[in-house]
Amino acid sequence: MLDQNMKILVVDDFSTMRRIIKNILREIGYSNVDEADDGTTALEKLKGSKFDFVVTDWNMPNMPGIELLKAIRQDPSLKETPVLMVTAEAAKENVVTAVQAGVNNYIVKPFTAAALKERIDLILGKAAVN
Amino acid sequence: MSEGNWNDVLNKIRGELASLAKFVDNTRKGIDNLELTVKVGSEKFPEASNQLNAVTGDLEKAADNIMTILEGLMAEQDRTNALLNSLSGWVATLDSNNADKGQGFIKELGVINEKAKKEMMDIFTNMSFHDLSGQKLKKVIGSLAVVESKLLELALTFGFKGDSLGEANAEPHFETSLQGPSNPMPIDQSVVDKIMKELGA
Repeated sequence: MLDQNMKILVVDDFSTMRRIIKNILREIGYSNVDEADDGTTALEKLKGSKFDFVVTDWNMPNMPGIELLKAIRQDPSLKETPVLMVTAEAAKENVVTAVQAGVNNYIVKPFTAAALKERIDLILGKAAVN
Repeated sequence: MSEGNWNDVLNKIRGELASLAKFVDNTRKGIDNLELTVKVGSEKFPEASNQLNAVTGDLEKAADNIMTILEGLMAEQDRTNALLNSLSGWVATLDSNNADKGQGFIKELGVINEKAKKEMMDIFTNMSFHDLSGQKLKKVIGSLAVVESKLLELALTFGFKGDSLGEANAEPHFETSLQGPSNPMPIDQSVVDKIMKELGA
């Protein structure tokens, strides 16, 4: 059974997108959700409080999602945090770059609630096995 | 040199001067046209950028309004579900014939309610069009700003003056690091999943 109380950070510069992801997460049972509008703010929040999962966009001002991912993987206290990238960057090179940087999964926008749930379950299922 | 030869030379010089004058005149006309083009461009590009910014703002406002309505409706559906559950408890106290009939209606209403909620969630998810179109519009606005700044540079180089170019010395306002999807040939989710699998992620 996956932990429905886990704390999730949703990172996207578009408030519409944050609202969509938050609602989908709530609908699939995750209501403990915080948000940030770029990588810099997200990193501050991650360092200031314990989060169990990060859902991030790629294209954002100040610090894009890929840089946030790299920063998370380089920080000993954050490196184990699962990161799901939800982005409009739908090129093979982007996916490969994200995987090489340590992303746990990757969703191309626009996406469905079922697709988001499936990938979260997949990531958390793998984490539980490891 | 004989008088005839001098006349030939003078005629030749006159011809050269005439063609030089024509060339200068054409160049001047060309610069006049360029000035007009730069002036028109300097007026139209900021106008287009402003209009696109307004479209982005309108889209965001509309998306927000639609999502607020949907959130309200989805909350009502949760309430409807709770009421159906209560009703189910009450129907169970009826005689068996009416109880069966009542539970059948409740079940049917529950299915309709769930279906409506799922479809509202789909509408909600599809509001991501705002994010995607917004990113593309940002890129267009950025490109317009680049063209605008080039026009202003051109105006400065040629010393064009005019009301519309009054701000030629000002820094053009545009985002230097444009954000947005950059791939002209996007791949779909199944290809992403395949890559993830191949890379063992």
